Amino acid sequence: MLALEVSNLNFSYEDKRVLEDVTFDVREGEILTVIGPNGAGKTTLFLNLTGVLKGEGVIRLFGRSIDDFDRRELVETIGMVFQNPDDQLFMPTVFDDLSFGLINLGLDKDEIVDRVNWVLSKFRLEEIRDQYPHHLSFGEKKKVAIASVVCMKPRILLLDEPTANLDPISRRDLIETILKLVDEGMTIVIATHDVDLALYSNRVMILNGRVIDIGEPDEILSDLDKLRRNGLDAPQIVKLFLSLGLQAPRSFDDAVKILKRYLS
Amino acid sequence: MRHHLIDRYSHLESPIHKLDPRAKLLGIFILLFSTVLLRDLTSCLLSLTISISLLLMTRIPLRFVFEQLKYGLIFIFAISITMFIFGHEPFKVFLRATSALILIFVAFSTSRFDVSIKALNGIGFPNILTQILMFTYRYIFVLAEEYEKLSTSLKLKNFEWKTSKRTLETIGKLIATLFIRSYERSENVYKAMIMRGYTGLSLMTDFKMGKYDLLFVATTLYLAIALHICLLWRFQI
Repeated sequence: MLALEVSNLNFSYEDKRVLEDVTFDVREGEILTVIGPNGAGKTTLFLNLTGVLKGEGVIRLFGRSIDDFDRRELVETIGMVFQNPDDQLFMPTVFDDLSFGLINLGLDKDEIVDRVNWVLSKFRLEEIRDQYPHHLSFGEKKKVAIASVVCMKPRILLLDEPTANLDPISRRDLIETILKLVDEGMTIVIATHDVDLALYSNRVMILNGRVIDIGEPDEILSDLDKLRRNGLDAPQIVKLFLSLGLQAPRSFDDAVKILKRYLS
Repeated sequence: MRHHLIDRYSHLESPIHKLDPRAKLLGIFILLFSTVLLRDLTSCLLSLTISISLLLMTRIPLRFVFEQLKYGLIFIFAISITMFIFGHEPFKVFLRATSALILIFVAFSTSRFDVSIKALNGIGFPNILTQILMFTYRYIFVLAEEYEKLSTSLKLKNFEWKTSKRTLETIGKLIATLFIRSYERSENVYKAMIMRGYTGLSLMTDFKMGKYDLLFVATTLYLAIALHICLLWRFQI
């Protein structure tokens, strides 16, 4: 089933066209990585998908037009995590922030506490439950920002630059968390400059105002010319494989298999 | 970055700290209201004694108390001197204002600030003002960090603070940058709130008012009235 369908989406900020005829879809339970240079319209696309901005074109979530959703249904269907966690964490404590969306959903007190505890344990954040956001490290803030949306259990999660400014350990933790969420059935769309992250996804889309290409990671990431023309570069591992005359890997697991075959 | 304000010692275990935050605020506000209406010197002294007693009960280090209150006290002192110059009675004003300042300090230093905001809402503070207070408390630190970054950046570019036109221009531009960043952030925060279904104040509190809390409110109410009865009795009204 298609979780998300976008057809001929156009969006302009005053007279500056940011999205032009954007058309793509996302299957339920898959990870789609959207890559593109600065100003390619990735965040604008996400804001359109969540109904915060309204462009021309059709957006369908699980077969229903976004215009047919009321606000409550929409926040339970699609959630977005911003690039900067300080934009996302606006309540005075971690607990208040996690419970914010749940209170808006009208859940009762016990259910809110259960959900908050569930998400705290899922993201291993129990120890910072009552902390102020300004006392957290950037990696912790990022985790809490994602947790604050995940606790509302949206079926589609949009992550805007999730790995930006993270240290390697926090980055690895985050990738593991994303993969776990997909295992549990969540559909994830990631906007990023981190092309390595694309190797964890099912499909990759190059966006540069319009959709340049969409396909499997090995297919998209091995076209170095196309990537460069759009202000991007291939992951180091893909460049290594291509320079060895090997096929580009689809994922890190795939890379290991190809390399083992090559070495034997 | 770790910033601490008035609530640095909110973790202590004094009788005042143990009070339900709503009862504490309510009781202290009653005393505060009573204090600002006092006109007699003896009553003002009594009120100051009560305020200092409450302050001592909190067991907060006096050095920290002085650090937090020094600017307020300097301001009150300056006002009192000005009143003296213009022929008014400065001592009562000084006593009343100092009592009020100490009471406010006791109210907000003995609970975490976020808990105090929720308690304010719990005793009837309007939702919209509670929300504004919460955002202010959350984002004041973000703004402080932004300012520190900009200030460091100026230092790295060999900028020196002088009394010159260029310094003033630079301060102006720095403030403008902070405003623009704040505006952009406010837009993003608004979007984030909408995406999480915001419709009004979304707070969850877990306050419990016990006998001890009710006793505290009753005592403060008694003291507040007693201060004025003392005044009436003194002047045999």
